[in-house]
Amino acid sequence: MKNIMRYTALLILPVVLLFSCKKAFLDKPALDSTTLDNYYNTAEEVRGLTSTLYGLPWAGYENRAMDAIGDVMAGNEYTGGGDDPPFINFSFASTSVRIADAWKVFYKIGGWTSEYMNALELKKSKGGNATILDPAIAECHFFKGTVYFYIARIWGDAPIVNDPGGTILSGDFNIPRYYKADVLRFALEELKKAEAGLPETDIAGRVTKFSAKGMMAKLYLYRKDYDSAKTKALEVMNSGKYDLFQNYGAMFNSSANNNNIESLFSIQHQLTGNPWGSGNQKNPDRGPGNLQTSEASMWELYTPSRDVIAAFESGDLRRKGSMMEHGWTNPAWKPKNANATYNAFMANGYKYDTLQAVGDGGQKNQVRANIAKYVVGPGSAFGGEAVLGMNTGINTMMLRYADILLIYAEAVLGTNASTTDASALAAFNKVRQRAGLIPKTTLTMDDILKERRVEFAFEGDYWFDIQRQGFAKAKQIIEAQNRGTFDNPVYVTFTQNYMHLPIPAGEVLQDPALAQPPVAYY
Amino acid sequence: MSNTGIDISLNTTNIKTKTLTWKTNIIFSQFKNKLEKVAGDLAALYGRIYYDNYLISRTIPGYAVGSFFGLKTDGLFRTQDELNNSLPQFGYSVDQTHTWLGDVRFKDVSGADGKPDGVIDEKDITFIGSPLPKFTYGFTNTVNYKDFDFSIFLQGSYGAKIFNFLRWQLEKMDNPYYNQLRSVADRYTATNTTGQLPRFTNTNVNNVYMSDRYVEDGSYLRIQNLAIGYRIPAKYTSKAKISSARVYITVQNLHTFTKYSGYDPEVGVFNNNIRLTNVDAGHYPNPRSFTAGINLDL
Repeated sequence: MKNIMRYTALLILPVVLLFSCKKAFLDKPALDSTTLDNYYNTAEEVRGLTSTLYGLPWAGYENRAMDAIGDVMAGNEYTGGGDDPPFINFSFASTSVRIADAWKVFYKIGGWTSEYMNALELKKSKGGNATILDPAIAECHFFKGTVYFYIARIWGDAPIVNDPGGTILSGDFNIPRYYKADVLRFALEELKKAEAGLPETDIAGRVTKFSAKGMMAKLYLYRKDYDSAKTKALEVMNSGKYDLFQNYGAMFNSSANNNNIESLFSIQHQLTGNPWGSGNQKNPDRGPGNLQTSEASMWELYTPSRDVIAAFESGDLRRKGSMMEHGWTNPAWKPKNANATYNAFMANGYKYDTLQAVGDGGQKNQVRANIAKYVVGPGSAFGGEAVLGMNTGINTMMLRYADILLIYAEAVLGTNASTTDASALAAFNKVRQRAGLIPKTTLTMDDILKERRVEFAFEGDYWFDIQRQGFAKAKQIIEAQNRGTFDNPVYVTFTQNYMHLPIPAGEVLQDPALAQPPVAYY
Repeated sequence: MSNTGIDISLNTTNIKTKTLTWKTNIIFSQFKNKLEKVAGDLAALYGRIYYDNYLISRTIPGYAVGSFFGLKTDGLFRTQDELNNSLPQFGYSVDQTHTWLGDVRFKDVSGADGKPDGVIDEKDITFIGSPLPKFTYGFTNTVNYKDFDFSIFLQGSYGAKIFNFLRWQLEKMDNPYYNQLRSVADRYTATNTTGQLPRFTNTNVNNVYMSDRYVEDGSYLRIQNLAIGYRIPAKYTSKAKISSARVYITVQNLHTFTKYSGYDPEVGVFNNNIRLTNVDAGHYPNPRSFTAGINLDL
């Protein structure tokens, strides 16, 4: 990933080759630089290109928009600040900065993958090694399908830019919005190509055929195609390549467990601040103020909502892995600062204490809790792992095996009010058992939603679970949530226009067709 | 793209006698930049700021490079009556979390068919100023009187607009944890309904959208250089075996006459990006320096 600049330059190269003038005397091959003729010959060169899709370009979404959309809007997170409260109160608009951030990420990755695939196909036509190039093309299809899946879920009706290079050449930038169903179908077609071309196994972190199958299973739920969702989930389950990682909390508090057996697709982070966005930046946004050290920033922009705190059943082992509350400890972390009282308080390890005076080691925020997921601690000088200010090296899981199990259970339930199907219960209870909870003997959609909310809390997913229930149910769920603080409960009104996010105003200005009613893509 | 303009430079000697010389140099420069034509109807160059999330300038045919585009503001909503008669702004309803008393009222300048359509949305984003000056000028006076010499250099720019993005951040009023300018004390509140600035809100996201609220007149006249010198008469210096001696004081950047509220109207280009010309997102200020010295020739 450190070679991103180099690979970005390589990406531009084929575009230049494609669109440069045709005068033969200018077509002399370059002798002193990489070209399609002399590059992408080895697996390392080709995989270097696709490695750029795993980290940096996700930063604008993963760092904050993912919280705002996936969890704040879903009623799982409470937040102060300026850019996020509109997602608690449903007052965001096409002028919102988080929405522009998310948009940029998905269409950028969508564009990159298209151009990568063009380059790799061209290399193939020039006699490149298909056994090396084809899996990389399939990898691009995975990312392209995944980002369009996010686009469909976030914006509903949205533009599809399948060939950005061609669009630029045509000069016709009047790209309309297409129906959400068509955007989902487009994403599915991409994932099918990924499924066909990706290998069954690869080195840790790289997506495989089963990553594609898992993402497809998830997407099928949005199409209410329960049979296909079930089939794809089952293929992942029967592969024997994935399992639940038994220590739930450890998946989220240490980069030592990056790309663990549960991960089907993770954003791959590097412990560096350069280029900005290479590191995981959730540590400062989530970590409690009393964990701040000279090595690690902490400002708790996002905290658990009172509503999600109440959603955890008593005895749920995931609670400690997901949140810090009064009495939460981590003996390994030994944060220190200039205050002797603070140092004495933390001498035997980090304590989360709402009674101790704030400043002297106490921690008392608006909701009396902090998110523990993706908080790796105060830094290596203080008993944690290395942290570089805002940056850590923990990977963010975007799709994990627990999701596959719950998708399977939901697909079996389908449109029935409840199910006692043994295989569905087995999958569902596997997730519950890891959490130390008693198995269920019957399942309803509400059971599944409740389980998904807690299992994937603060992982940017619950909003989509609420939204895909349809407006009436979504309204019922949201309006019942306490979205306020410990002292001031807040309940909001939810209206249909907030089911999907608006297209950023700046984008409509560049492409006025986006303000027109959607049309069919297929 | 076309650039047309004139440069005038005028050197005059106003007075020349044995004891007194007064020379003046005037420089006047005027130019007009315009993008004439691009490939397609929608082709344009865009300038974005704040992690590329806010569109702040467009370079499109008929306008100067880096022209500011945004909403036009029309004061604040100060009464319930004004709210009742308001147009929906980016889909907002009228209530405390959306459009409310103390919020910015935007102008309905256009719509789908190019005419005002009764709603405020992205179609109302319009030209709100050019970052290029109408003209710039310089004015130097040099006076020599007996053993004294004096010079003053004034430099100015007229007609450029500045997008005061620093003020956008420092008057944002959507986050109680951020430092703000003192000017936010005069914001709209229930008890200060005549406040100059909008209300504090962390739910209404439109108030801080790119608008002419942050576009300011960047005209200025600066005393760029002032120098006073005195040549010590030869009858004193020759005793010390010095052929000539001059004591002097110079001041750089003595004073700037401007209505611009930021700390320096000479903004330049942000991030070396021509599409972000005169976008003031904070920059190293022009220092004021005082120099006193003696020139000795032995």
